[in-house]
This record gives sequence, C-alpha cells and structure tokens, in this order.
Amino acid sequence: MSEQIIITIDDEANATVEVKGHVGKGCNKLTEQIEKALGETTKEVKTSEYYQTAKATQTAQR
Amino acid sequence: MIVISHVASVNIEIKDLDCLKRACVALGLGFREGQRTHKWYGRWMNDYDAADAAYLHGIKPEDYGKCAHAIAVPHNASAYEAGVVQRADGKGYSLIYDFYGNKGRALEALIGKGASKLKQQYAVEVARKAARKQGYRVQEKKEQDGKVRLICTR
Repeated sequence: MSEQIIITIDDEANATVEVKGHVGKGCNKLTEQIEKALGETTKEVKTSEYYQTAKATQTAQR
Repeated sequence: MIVISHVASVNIEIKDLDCLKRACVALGLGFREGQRTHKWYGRWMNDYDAADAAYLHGIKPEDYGKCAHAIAVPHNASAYEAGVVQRADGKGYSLIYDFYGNKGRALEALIGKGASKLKQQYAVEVARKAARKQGYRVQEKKEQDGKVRLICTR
C-alpha cells in the first residue's frame, strides 16, 4: 500500500495529522513541515509500526 | 492491512495571512487588508467573562476594535466585523469579534461559533499548501460530521 498522509480538521478546528503505510522512523520528517505550518503540536502517538525497522518488516511480509 | 505509524494533534495557530485570505474567499467573507478598526458594539459592557473572552487573552478592553486587518460580511454594512489581531505571545494572530445581537449573529453565521468555520477553512488551506509544497497530490473530502479530510499521496 502506498504511503499516505491524512490530515483531518473537525468543525472546531482541531487538527490531526496521520501517516499511513509507512514503517520506520522517517515518518515524522514527512509530517513535521505540515504540523509546523498548522501550529503547535500538542500530542504525538507513535504506534508500534513506528518502532519497527525496515528489515524487520521485510521478514514479516514474506 | 492498514499501518498507521504516527498520529499528531495540532493546535491551529493563524500565521499565514495568504491562507487566511483564501479561507475568507471560500466562505464568502471579505478580507479588508490593513483596515485597522473592526465594527463591534463600540463600548465594553463588561458583560462577558467566559473562557474565550478577549480580555482574558491579553487584549485590553481599551484596545477592543483595533486590529491589523478586518474581516467583513459583504453586502451587509451594519453587520459586525472580525478583527485580525497580532498576538503578544508570538503565536500568530487571534480572531476577535462581537457576537451580540443581529449584527453579531450575521457575522457569526459566516465565521462560525468561536470563528470555528473560519479556523477550519484556514487550517484546510494551510495543510493543502504545505502538502503540495512537499510534492503531494491532495484530495479533499468533506465528511457528514463536518470534518474535512485531506488525503495526501505521492
């Protein structure tokens, strides 16, 4: 699945920025500029996928 | 299998006036660049002290009505206007407006309660601009619950 950034803004102007389909530490680089442009990042959740290295996922995908 | 690796919550700060102008256009509002006063009741009645009251956010009552730019309701000369006011804490601009009475409601109908509609549209413009700058294609979806979703791929 190709990588996606999903930005959701609700009707009270609460914004979340998600990265889908990327494994490994590079993902916060992708969203850093977008988050900075929007304002102040208040909460960040890195899921287990964030902590996997690219090598580990290659094994898992066999 | 959908892999989500990173989720961040962001408090919107209004820093990009170009995007604020575009947001006004999208919502049918008039951006009055350089207009240094915005229409409101005109006299501080000290009748509002909820958490979002301007005087609780670093704006002195004697400075009410002053702004860097104004946002107006086109074709309605009596409606109040929102003020775009530079924040003292360096976090961009605040949107200040008087929501009282018919004149206030006429403005609030377009900018949303607490200027939420305008802030949402502003955030959409900023996010789209930032994603495109990084080479993403942006698809915009308006959800039934009022959320706007920008799906960025490259």
